[in-house]
Amino acid sequence: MATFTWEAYCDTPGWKDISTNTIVFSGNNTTLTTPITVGTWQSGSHLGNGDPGTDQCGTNHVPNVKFVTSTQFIVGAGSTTTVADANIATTQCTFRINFTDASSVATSSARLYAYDGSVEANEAVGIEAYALQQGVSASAWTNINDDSGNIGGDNAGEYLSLSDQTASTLHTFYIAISARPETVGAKTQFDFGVALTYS
Amino acid sequence: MTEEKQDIRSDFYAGNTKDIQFTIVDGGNAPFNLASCEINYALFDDDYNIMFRKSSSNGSGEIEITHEDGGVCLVHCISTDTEHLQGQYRHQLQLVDSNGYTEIVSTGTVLIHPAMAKRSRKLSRHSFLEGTLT
Repeated sequence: MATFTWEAYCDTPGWKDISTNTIVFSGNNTTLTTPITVGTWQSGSHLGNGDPGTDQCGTNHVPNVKFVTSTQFIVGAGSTTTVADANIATTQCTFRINFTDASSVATSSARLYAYDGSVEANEAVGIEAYALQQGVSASAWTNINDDSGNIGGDNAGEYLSLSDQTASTLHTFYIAISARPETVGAKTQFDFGVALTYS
Repeated sequence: MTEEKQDIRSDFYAGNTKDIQFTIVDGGNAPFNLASCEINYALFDDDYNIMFRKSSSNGSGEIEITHEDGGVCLVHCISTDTEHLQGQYRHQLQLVDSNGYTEIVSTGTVLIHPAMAKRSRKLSRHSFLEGTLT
């Protein structure tokens, strides 16, 4: 049985299963209820139990990775640096996705996308989001959602392509996400999806 | 005796879980009793590069003797054995009997077709943010 597990590095800190949590982007690195000023990038990444609900991060919050330009980011409390594996550790990513199978399988066509939570081809409304995969020598963010630009959803050219991985019973993808509101108000129709093929 | 041209030319796709059945016979073409025998299998290319090997000495998960008196065994191929293979290969089955007598008892070619259909999985996680003007 093939299984996805999403985990964030937080609390003790350690990798925590976030299958029951909401991934919350906020305007503060310790408070998940702080709204984000329209047009600015999130200053905190958190785990909630609703929209947003109460903070479920534990002792340490989820690492925050903020978009600066298409080739720059701010990791945690650091300063602006170039997008590169050397500048972001796996434990500084927003989350990781584990794909496991009882058999040793290879993965291909893996991708991460943002959508409206209902129709996988639809972008999330009122949100701009960028993503990158750590560990694959990425040098730039990938725009995975831009409501004003009609970008988002599980559509070619509108998702982050994840690396093909050779046969194994465990595949891990480390992901950093940065998001900002394009309009005022709570964005509850906002999900991330992962998809891949394996054999 | 060696049975040559034991070819597999169809119905073999990369990544298949597949059992290849062999019936081993003696010089008189009668079934060879496989009691206390070791059976080994190899798939390789024309340059003798080994793609994978199987052996009954590693357990019935690799090669299973299904009818000892009848000389019948199954080579169990799992998905990862062939998932990256495509094209023509060769295979051999070797028998080591209870006296240690060793013989290649079967040879042939194996044509592995590419597998274009793949299994897929999707999963999503909910997210949230709120925009404000100040």
